[in-house]
Amino acid sequence: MLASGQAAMRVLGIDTASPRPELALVEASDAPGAREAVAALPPAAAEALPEALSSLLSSNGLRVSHLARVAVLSGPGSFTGLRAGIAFARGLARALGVPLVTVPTFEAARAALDPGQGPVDLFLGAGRGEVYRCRARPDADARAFDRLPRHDAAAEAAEAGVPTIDLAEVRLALASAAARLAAGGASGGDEGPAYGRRSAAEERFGT
Amino acid sequence: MELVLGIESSCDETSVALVRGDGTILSSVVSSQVATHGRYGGVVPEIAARAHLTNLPGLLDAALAEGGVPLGDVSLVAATAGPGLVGALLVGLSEAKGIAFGLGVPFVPVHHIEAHALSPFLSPAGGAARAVPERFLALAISGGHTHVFRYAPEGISCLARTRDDAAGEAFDKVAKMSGLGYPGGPVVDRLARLGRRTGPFPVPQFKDGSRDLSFSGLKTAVRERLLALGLEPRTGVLAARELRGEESLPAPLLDLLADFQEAVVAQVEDRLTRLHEDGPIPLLTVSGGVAANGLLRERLEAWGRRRGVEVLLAPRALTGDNAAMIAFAGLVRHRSGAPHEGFAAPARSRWPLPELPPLRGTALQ
Repeated sequence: MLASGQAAMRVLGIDTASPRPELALVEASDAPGAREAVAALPPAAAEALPEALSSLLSSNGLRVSHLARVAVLSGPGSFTGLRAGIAFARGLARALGVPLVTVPTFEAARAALDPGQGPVDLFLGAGRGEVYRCRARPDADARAFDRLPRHDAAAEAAEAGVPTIDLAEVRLALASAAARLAAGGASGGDEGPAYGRRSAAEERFGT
Repeated sequence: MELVLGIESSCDETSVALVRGDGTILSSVVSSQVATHGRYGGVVPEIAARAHLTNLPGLLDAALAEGGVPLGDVSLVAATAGPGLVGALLVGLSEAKGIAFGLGVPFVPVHHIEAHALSPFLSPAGGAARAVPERFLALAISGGHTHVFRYAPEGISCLARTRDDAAGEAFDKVAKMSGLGYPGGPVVDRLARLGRRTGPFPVPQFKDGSRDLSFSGLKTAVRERLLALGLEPRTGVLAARELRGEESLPAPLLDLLADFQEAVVAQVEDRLTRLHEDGPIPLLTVSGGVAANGLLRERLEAWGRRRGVEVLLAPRALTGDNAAMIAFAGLVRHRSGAPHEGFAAPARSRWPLPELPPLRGTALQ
């Protein structure tokens, strides 16, 4: 439960794009261990969003007007889920007059890793036997990713001696991580979704 | 007074509009993707959905600026929930729900065809909308639909529908075969006026006496006549350079287009006449893309005068997909008090209009 005092700022995190969609409310503060509340979303995450948000707010004694920021995953992820999450977040932030923060999926995932976790390659299913991959390079941009066949990605990780985490298999609490990044001052609301892949028609026609 | 924000994203037009509680349109802005999809020979759902997401914020800004009102004044939000492309619908639907949730105002999911059916009650000149009566018939005629619906307090029913192609589809296919490009409606409307009607096509009838419509036979007949004229019917996606120059079109092709257009209009008149004989039509609305066709408009107005039926044509500017009609339909549904799914409404690819509860005492008087 979050305290419903007036002083603390709350940030909403929305993940409708990953294999484990969630909503998170984070009480933003500089202190580590800020409290948070999380609600899992069903697979048809887009349609469940408003009611899930409604019950998450009310069960924490909050109203929508208590939201000071809205964070949403910007991709990669399910095309439809990304768009629905971004559109809802954008509309919500605009109506509330608060900042919208788009957070790349892998940036949220890195932030969500256990602090004791060593280097790890992150995978997110991209369909057609491929994965989006964010490589374990401490110096690299956390949002950088590429797309390649899953077995190639696995082979390269094995060769480098780096373990892998598939976001479909391990829950990394991406919505909370996105909200915490946004609460911590991350900004950026104009970044369109990083789809990671053109539409099938464009790929076929080579346009 | 109420202020309704409407959002439409069911196919390849993104639109945002503001409509006042009396049905006055304050603003309605539309962004079309026709050029984007042209090279693929049809609307590509994933490309459409991406374009909706990109286009929406700018359209919302433009609609608010044109309407001269802040977003905070909006008291009701409506968006198309179906039928349409699910990925495309979800963009407008989600943004609309986000806005309504943030403003703390009701959200109304709108049926796209109902919005068309009600659009003729909107004023073309920027005034208040007409009251929506309890009973009326709606001809929805477009590239996707050719249906006659009956609105009554007992419920909404479908009295007639095309059994194959929609009328607008016939216009598109005939234009394509004739080398006139896409979309076919405006170009056929313009060129058919230059031709003379020389050989009428028959109005199809069903043996079971059904009032349903059919346009696929007409399409085949046009194809055969093109061949007889020595004009090879075009197929596939036309590049701009393949389009026939309008200035050099042979007179027999113009005549053929005139006969085709006449056949479409004659069939619609025939079905409306028989429906009127089945039971007097209290009022008829005509909406959808084909309702922009000049000949159809003239003839249905004349038909109404002859039969003593009030015919309301959708304002030309509102015959295509637009959010003004979405906002208005949302307002009418909200006023009627008919139950709806609100924020829980899913995007639906298929959504028969008669599944909606009837409108009761909706009048915007």
